[in-house]
Amino acid sequence: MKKKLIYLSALFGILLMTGSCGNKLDLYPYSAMSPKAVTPSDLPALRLGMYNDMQNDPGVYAFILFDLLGGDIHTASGAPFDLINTILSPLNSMVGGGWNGYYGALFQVNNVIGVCEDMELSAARNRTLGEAYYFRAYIYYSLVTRWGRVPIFGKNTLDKPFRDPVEDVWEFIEDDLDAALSLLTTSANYYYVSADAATALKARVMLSQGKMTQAASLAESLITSGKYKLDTFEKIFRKQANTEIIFAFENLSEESTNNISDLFYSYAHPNKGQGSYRVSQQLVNAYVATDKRKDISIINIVGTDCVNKYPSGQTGKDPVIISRIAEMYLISAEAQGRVNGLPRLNELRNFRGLSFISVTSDDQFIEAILEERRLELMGENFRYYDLVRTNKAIEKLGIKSHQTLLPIPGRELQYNTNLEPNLGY
Amino acid sequence: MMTATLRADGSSKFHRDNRWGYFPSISFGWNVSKEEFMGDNNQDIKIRASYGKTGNQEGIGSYAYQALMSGGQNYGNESGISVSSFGNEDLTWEKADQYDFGFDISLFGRKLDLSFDVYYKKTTDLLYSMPIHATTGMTSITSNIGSMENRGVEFSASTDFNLGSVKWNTNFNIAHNKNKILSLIDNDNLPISIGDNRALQVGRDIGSFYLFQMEGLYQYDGEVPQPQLDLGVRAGDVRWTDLDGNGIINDNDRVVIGSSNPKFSGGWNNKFNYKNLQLDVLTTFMYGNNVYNQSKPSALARIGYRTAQLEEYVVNQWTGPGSTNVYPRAIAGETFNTRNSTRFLEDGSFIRLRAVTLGYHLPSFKVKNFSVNNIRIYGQVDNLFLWTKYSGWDPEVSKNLDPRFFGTDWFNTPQPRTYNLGVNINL
Repeated sequence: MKKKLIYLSALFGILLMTGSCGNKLDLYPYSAMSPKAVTPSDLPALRLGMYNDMQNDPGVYAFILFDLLGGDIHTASGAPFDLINTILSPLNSMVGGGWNGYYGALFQVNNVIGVCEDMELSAARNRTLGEAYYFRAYIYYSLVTRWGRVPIFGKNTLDKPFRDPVEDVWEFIEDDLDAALSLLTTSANYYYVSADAATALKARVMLSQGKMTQAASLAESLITSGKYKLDTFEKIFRKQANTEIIFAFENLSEESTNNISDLFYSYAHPNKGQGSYRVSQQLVNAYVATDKRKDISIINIVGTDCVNKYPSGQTGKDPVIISRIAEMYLISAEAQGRVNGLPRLNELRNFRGLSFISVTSDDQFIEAILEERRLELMGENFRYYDLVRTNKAIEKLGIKSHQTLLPIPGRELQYNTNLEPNLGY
Repeated sequence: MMTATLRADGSSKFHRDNRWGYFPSISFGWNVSKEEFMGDNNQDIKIRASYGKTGNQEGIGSYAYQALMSGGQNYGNESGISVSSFGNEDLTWEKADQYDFGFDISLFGRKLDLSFDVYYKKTTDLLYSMPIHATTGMTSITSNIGSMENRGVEFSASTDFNLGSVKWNTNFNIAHNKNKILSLIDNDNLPISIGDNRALQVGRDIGSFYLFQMEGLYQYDGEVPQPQLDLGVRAGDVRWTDLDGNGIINDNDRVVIGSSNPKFSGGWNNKFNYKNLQLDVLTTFMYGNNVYNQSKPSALARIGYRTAQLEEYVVNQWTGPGSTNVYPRAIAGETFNTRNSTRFLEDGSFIRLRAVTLGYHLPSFKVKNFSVNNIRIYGQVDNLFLWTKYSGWDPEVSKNLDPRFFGTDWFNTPQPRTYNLGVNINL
């Protein structure tokens, strides 16, 4: 009897404890909220958070990687080829950080898409959803051009994915861009995604796949829309009002971790910089005297040639341009081919202070296009993939065939054994 | 004797379904010498056994189980929010089951005391910031990552004998502990690199090193595999174990090896009293632990580098085929030979004369009406002597006291040797 009493009172004690303070232990932070608690009124903040993640998560190197791998940039101590070999390692932090960053941003974008899909239709919801589709396409474009076959997710998951075929990735990108185009219209300014930004990215995506007709017509639709005109580098790269930019990340100093300028300017520049990367003599020489782009593209700081498109140094941060109309001229010219495309190329050259050229073969034409892209888009994350997609990287950069793709990061291979490494690494 | 307790703890860090932990404990004690069948004796024999379960919720965030969206993710000078953590509703208490068994014996009228303990402790649901594949959107998640065990033996003996007019007190203790990781994340049991030349792997202990393994030196250029030759490796450079056999030495060629945990450690204290003179000698020791001498690859053994070098590495360096299989050639700017490796992993066993104190008591006396009870004059030396094969200053220093990273010597300040002279006066 006595024992029974003890058991009973012990049981009662346990019930009392679990019952009475169970609710008191449901504590929630004041400075954060649950993703499930997001309501339509939180959508504006969610949208801007997505912009912030897209701008910052992939990291500063994500915006200049194709320049660092492009054979025209080198460090203080080595040749461009050495920089390429250093970066193209499964353990390199630019490679690992880029992978982690793009998938980190994808998580946020997929979260926004999930939230929007559960909401009733409204202008704000459609705009945010359209932007999210654009960003997801941009992420996958960045992933497929770096690593080739990558896992595709339309929804966030903790599963360990396998790699998907390259064709499926491109199809996913095109679907997202079409979805974005059906939802987007104009934007407040070029620091926000518009339908035109989606068109510009789609033109690039088509060109990358060799779908030339579509690439040309998309690029032409922007050139002939009357909304954009070629403008001077002094305006484009010095944060002046211009008619050139279609979409850029605003990259405000207090909201961004991307200081591109700091990596390029040396300490001798009035704005200061750590000067990690320099411009090769070959690229300096490639700009002819009349080229109006040269002074804004390259600056000689006490004997060292530095990229000059990002002017803030350590005093602040500069916008990062994703699409501008000159790229559309170059896409249109390349996609239309030698006969029909040459006028667009010459139009751009003429505007930049260069003479008209004529070409006699298709190969010569592609060479001229690539050289023009090299000079026009230097420092804007194009060169390496331009050489890869035109099958000229091995010859021009002196790299091995497996180096036309980045290695899957070693860390990722360690934690997801379903992923195969890229051959050769 | 028997004691039993049960406690229930709830924590707001865990989801309400996993919030409560129940932690019982029970212990038995039996004083054998008091039993009737032992008759009248002046021995003392006690046997004890216990089991206890404990819970831990330290080292994780206050809202660890909750998925959260945080502010400060701004764009265009307007406020933005985004997901800062996806939480883990399965998160629960880290639990430890510990079993102890021991006995104490006093013999010869309590002149000899022996104490012996064995224990087994199994920790499950270890709380850890578990690294995960980045395609999830995050690179780590607070998680109940796995389990580990500790098993050990402790023994101590103390005596209280007189050697003629010298009174001798000694106290000796020795302990052995073996740690082993029982389960971790599902990754085919590959080592999980946790930085700082350490890795976690099932079957190994926490504190294992993760290093390249040196096999010797290349004596001729012809021995160097082509991929290494292309990178400038030549005769006189280190031949590293190429685990995957691809000719390239990269981080995949590291092995989990050695440990900063000792096989056993302990101390021995001796007290001698002769008339008014007292001598105390304390010795501590540790055996079987590895110390990673980080100062060598970073500077001291990096011959050809701009810092000061150890003479041993300069004088004995490789100068031609057959000259040495241990000390690589000098070469400016290279780091191939100074990879973090078994080259610099050393035996950290030691015996240290921790403290020696010699004291003398003056008899009490009176000065007029003022009585002085006791004056003690003593001299003490701390850290008087160290026997070790470790080549650095001190095998006992470490830049990090975390058990995962313990035992790395980064040129840390060694323990000082201090001399004290003093007088104690009791009035």
